[in-house]
Amino acid sequence: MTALTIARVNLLRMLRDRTGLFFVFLLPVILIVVLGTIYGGRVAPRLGIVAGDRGPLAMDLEAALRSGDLRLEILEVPTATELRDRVERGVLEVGLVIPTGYDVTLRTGGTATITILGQQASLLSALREGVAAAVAEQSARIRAARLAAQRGDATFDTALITAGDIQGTLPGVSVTVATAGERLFPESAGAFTLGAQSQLILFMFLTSMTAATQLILTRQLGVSRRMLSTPTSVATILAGETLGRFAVAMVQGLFIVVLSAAVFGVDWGDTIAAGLLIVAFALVGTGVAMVIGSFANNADQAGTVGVFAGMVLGALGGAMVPIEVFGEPLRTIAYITPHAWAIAGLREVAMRGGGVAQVLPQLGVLTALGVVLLALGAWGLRRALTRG
Amino acid sequence: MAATVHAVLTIALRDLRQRVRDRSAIILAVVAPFALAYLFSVMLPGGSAAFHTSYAVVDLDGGPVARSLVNGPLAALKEAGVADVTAMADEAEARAKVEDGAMAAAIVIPAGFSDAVGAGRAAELKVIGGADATLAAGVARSVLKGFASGVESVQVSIATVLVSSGAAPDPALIARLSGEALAVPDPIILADDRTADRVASNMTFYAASMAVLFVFFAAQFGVTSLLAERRAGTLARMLAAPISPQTVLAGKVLVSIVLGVVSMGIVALGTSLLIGARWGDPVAVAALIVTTVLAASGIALLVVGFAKNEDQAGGLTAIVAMTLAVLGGSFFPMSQAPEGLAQLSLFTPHAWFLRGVNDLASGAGVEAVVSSLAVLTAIGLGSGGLGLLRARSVVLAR
Repeated sequence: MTALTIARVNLLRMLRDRTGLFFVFLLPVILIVVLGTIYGGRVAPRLGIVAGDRGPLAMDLEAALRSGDLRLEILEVPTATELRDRVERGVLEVGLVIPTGYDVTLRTGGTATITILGQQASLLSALREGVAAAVAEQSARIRAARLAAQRGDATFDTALITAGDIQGTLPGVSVTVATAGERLFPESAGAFTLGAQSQLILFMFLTSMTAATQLILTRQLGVSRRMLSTPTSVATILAGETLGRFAVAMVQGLFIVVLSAAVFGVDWGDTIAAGLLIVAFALVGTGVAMVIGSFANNADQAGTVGVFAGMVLGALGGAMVPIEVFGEPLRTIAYITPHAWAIAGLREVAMRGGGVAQVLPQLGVLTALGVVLLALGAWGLRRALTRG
Repeated sequence: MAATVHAVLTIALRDLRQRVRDRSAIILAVVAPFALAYLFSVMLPGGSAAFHTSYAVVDLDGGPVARSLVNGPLAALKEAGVADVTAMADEAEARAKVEDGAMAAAIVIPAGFSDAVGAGRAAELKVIGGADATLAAGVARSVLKGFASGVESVQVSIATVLVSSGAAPDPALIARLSGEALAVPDPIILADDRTADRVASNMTFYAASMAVLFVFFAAQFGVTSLLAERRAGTLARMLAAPISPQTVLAGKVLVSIVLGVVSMGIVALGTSLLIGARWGDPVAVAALIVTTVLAASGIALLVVGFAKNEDQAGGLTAIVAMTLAVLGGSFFPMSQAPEGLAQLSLFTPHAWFLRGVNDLASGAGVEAVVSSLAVLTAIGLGSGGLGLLRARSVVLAR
């Protein structure tokens, strides 16, 4: 009972600290929103078009690009200067200038020059293929129409329509695409899912780091010694302090999970499996907080170093940038952090429909780490309490 | 006048000495930005903009049309540095390579392809794309379709003439027409234009973004000490001496500016020397740093005006700094953001500083960053001016 009171006080302390509330509840949500808005759903490179001409041929080419194989996101840009500026800044991956008089030139037998702008040689040549394929198709129709018109078989316009029909029905060469392997991040995963998972883990850990400084203060201000002078056993204080930190981590974790599910439609997958992973990670966070809180003596320094360490471990564990984009050997090294295990587990549950059985390895590692840290922290705190 | 300057310097020097001894300050101002910049740049090798992929090509046909595809467009991809192209004998083997991610996509030319094309029958090319290599598969498909359009182009021309004129498909006519069709020049030219590079390298971006994130923490130390001095009563004692409140304020602001410049300067210099960041023209970088520090100090001063004690000021600064950093693109490059968010980011000093650093990537000088410098200075003077008004009351209230 006393243990519960101690835990409750710890939780209240967190909720009364208004600065803390920002970092515990608001910042993760802001980050989830920004991450989701920037990266959510958009994988296609962006192509900007300056259409000097809105004739049928220019529009036809634009439509072909829109439905093309690279699934480019097409944006219309008013002027060539602005297009160049955006390409230079990397806002657009590639830019296309369809010259003024495009339709007239092509109708009257001239040669039209389309300019393709890109900043990066390799990406430009890759995206160029998509543009070139659309241009080649249009080019084939125009050549056919010119030949027919030249021979006096039909007017250019009529022949162009005929050529279009023929191009659609010609047995010709078709290109089929099959997909092999499994997608890393299924398209069904919502825009906010990846961000919500990583921010959950990043911030639960950061909060635990902050909770550690509270324990240092509790010790230093003599609160724990005064508790000991009452008929409260060391075991009760240990249980209370541990429970308090665990409650803080869980309150934050549940807040992020519930809010992201309710507001942003994040699907966390199997409730029990995801819940167990979060509990296991909260154990790890609690363990770390207890260890630091028992052994460190300068609350200020522990706070700064703790937040810094939390960010570094978070970054290394894939809580800022997905582990999948790391190169080796970092991708392997990442698994020295609890973050990497927790995120891997959450991914498995949310994106591949895994249940408890599928995430047993992650649960095992996290629980084992949590128990070891908790034991170490409890031993340290008991030592600190009984010595002083 | 000389006495005032002396007083300002004395106050600033004493504070600076204290900060140098404070390990938390050193961690926040120097170690953290440096370490995080390093970590981020190591985690993201090569940068997000570089595109290189790998294709397996399985030529089960071996005929002339298949060879012209392999030696033409596919060889060109390799030459352009877009992809490694590896010939494989077996479709199953290629598919396995794609499945385990060793190859981004496989291109399969089925047996009988050349014959089918020659006879005007339907022919098929296959792309087997890796599940996560959608762009690579798209590029492969585009290359094949471009090739197919070329092959079909003559067929389209002949058929169009036959339909338009109603002539019978007599072999002699077709032979003549195919010669004429080939003689029609390509009506559309696709001209390449490499633009200047105004995006900083990955390493430079993270060095700059972490420098601007943490400069807010570095700069706050100067002005928040005002609140600490008030609590400790040393502020009242200072004012009891013949020193004006303005002098005290000036001393504190100077500390913020010096700490900020030192923090960003060390990060810029350190990342250049140790981990290969390329910040660009030193004069322009120095100007960007000074104006950014001005903005950070101004905002810190404004925050102090609203805080009751130094703990609260520290917390508020952290909140403001993190929010501005997230919105300003310190964590995620804003070039990837949708329009609305990108516009919003222009309200933050972070966005303008990073924009300036990006503008320097092409090797430009100060003239390329004039707008960034102007906006940063305006933010600094604006927030600092408001902050001074409020901070004066903090000083006068002791």
